[in-house]
Amino acid sequence: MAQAQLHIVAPDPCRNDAAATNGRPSRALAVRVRGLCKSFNSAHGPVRVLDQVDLDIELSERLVLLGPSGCGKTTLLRCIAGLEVPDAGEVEIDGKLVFSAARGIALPPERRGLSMVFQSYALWPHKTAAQNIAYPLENRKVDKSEIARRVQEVLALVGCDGLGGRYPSQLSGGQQQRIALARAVVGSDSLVLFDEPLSNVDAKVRESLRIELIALQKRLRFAAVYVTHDQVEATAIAHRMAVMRAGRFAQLGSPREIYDEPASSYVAEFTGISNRLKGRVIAQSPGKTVVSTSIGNLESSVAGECTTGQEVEVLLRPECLQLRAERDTQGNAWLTRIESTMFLGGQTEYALSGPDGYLLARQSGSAALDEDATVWVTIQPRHVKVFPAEAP
Amino acid sequence: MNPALSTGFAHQPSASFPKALPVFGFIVTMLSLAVLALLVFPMMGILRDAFVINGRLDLSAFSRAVADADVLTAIRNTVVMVASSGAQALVVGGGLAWLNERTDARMAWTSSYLPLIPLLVPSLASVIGWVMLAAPQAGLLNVIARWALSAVGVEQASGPLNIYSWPGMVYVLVLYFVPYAFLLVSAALQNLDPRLEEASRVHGAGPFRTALRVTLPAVAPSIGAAAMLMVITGFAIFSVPIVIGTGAHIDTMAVRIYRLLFTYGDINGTGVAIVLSLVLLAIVQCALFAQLALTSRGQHAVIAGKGSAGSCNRLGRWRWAAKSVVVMYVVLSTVLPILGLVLVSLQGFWSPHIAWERLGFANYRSILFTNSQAGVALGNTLLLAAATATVVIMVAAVFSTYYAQTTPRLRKWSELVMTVPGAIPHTVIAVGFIIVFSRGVLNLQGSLLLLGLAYLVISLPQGQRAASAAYDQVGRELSEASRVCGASLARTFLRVVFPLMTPSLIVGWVIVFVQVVGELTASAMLSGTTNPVAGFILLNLWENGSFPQVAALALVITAIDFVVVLGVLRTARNRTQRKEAS
Repeated sequence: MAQAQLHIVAPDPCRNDAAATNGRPSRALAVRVRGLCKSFNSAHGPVRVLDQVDLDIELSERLVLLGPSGCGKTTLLRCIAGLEVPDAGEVEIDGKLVFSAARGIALPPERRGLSMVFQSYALWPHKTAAQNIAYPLENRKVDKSEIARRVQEVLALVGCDGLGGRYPSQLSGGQQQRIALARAVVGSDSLVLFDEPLSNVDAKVRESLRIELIALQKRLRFAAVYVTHDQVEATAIAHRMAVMRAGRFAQLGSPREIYDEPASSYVAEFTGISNRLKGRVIAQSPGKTVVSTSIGNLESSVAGECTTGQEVEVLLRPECLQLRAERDTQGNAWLTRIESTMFLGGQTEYALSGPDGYLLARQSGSAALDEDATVWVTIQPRHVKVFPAEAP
Repeated sequence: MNPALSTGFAHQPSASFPKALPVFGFIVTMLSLAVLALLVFPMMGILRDAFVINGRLDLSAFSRAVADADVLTAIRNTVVMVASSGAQALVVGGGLAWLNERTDARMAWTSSYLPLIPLLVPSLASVIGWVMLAAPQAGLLNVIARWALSAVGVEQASGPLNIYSWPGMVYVLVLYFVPYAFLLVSAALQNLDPRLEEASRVHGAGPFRTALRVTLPAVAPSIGAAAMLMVITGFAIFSVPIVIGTGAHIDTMAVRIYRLLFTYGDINGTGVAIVLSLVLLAIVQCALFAQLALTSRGQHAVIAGKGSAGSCNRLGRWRWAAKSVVVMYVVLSTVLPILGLVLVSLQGFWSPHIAWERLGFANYRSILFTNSQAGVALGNTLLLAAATATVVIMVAAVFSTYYAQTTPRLRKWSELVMTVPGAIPHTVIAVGFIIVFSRGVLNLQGSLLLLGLAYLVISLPQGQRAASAAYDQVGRELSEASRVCGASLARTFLRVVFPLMTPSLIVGWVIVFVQVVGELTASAMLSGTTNPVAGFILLNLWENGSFPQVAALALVITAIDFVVVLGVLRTARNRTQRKEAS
């Protein structure tokens, strides 16, 4: 099913083939990053935060950098913005070389022709909302009357008409973030950077702001680079997302690809697979791998290259575990007891007792099964992800 | 992420990049070297003058100092004075802080008013005020007390109070120190998570047991830091011992140095004075390091906090007693001495029998108009205070913004250079300036510039503190947002960073201004008839016994401080309030 869907959306316009971008790009790119490296000095010696990062971002693309704190996503964003000076590599924005360690080029942020939305909004408290929004235009020596017109236009665009005269301290968190957004788009830059912009607003506002942000991007067609550690936010926003780990891309692709075909157990776990089992490969044939785990033998049709006897990790997505009172004839199945049920509104989560702690299963609808009931758990071989065990 | 690691654009990790803003960087470097020179040369001058005689190292000044019984007495007196007054001030100030932060005796105005007292009333004014009140013969309180005693049949010619004594001097110093203890301890109490104390209450300890067993240990580092601050200021203090100690024949180190240099005219005295200065410097530097260690340790006690209001102990009927203690402190430290000054300043001469019908403003007329020396001195003081405050704050603002963009190590060094003068007693700075700026091309003796430079050095720490607090307040993202919006580093500083720093800088300006106006030590040593300043005139009038004029001048200075502090702070507050309120 997953494969079939992939072909429906293909050819993905944002699909990035490394081969196509070798050497000079043949088409216009919003951002082109090559071989970017950056280390910081810490008390325990230098720490490599970016390690040979290559990245191409298409015009009008929404690219999300996803990862836990310290993975280098914010540093990459700040290196593109010019707020951080990389140790090596090149950065091109709109075909213009803005940074090259080899050629000694390092344009300051104000000469890179981009804008940015900050985590703390970074609205200047001594300027009104309108003055905040006008600032980028003033720096470009735009006419006063033109500035006033554009500011009103953008205020309307973000739904903040009439708030122009207020100081940031007189605005709610959501309004402040809208003003920050307005300031970022008022200059019609073709690239806007977002540094966890929604992490400081409450959940309700966050969802509506996310929708507005996507609508705004579609309308103004700027390329967006968006940093977040929230997997739900990332998949909701991204055309393409990059899952980062220790200064490298663990995987780069569409949210669908990353959801369906995580490249490693790290990516799988970071994109919401919470059931993780240790195992050993006991049988191997084309399209069929059998892994021995603490809950019994599991058959997988999507295991990568493994050899018999190899230590592996098995990841099971909670929504792929089916709970039945009767045994299903197909797929892996085992008998277990429901430890607790958690009603979450549209769906229900079940904690299933296992030999090494709980397994989590998620079913849509309200709880149909009782706690302490004994049930059959089924999972299709195509949902059993097998990855080589990682060194601890 | 460590904010110090992510730099602005000025720091280039690789040598192949062009340095950003070379002109600005050059100017800042030159300014830094000038400031460094103002610190280093006087100190080197002191060492050379004391220990190099005829081009040879000569340590005989040390032996002369050790042999001088008066020097040892001065050291002993200073230790006794600081220890006894500091300990009492800690108890009073810490107690007031606890009452104000943790009980229902708290009063909204205390926390904002108490720390301002030393700003509003120059120490010399309150010392002289207390002399006017409690001098054995003519002290106003003594007059009243004797009148009351005679009503019950006890007749005395003098007393019962005598300010010219150990208890008198310690008492005035306690009043002077209390705001320091109050400020540090109440800041610690505000930062201390009240849940720690609530946990103690829930587990069965009463309010006073909780205060002793939980609160006190938690704020102990701050109390230690306050004690060290008292050592730093107490060992160097000049105003109290020069006024009271002279009358009580109690010599302290700072006064002894002054006397050795200016009163006795003994050529050997200079060497001894310098040795004494070095001892003073050593003691104060040790206290500074102890204080820094304590404040960094103190951060362990600072837990989140601020989230909820502190637990409030109900004092019941003791509440009014507690409140009256606070009021009493304000009366003793401010109201009474000012009343004493007012009464004496209105008299023709200071006498125990006030001729009410003869009171008048003759002394003020004399100070402001007739006595040209005093008028010129007041003008000079205002000019120097305003100029010093402006220069120091501007330099500190430029330094803190510039060095924040460079490497963390350079920033640390620049901060160190700026804070060092805080732990050099003014006496020592003045001695160094006398030595370095009295010969050759650098001869500035008798000029206002000499005083200005000394005030500049003295005020650097206050300026640095204000500017770096102001800069840290602005936040990195605010200036980064400006860069991303297309503004250069210079434009970002002018349009975003500087306007946001302004309120804190104004407060810093006021603090420096008031400090320079009330400065006595360096003023007494560097000022003369060609470059008179208020502190110099005040001391001269005092030593000549023109007490009513002293009182009048002290009040004029106090009034100037009042007007400037309240006026400037009020305008600054109004400006920010307009932006915050709807």
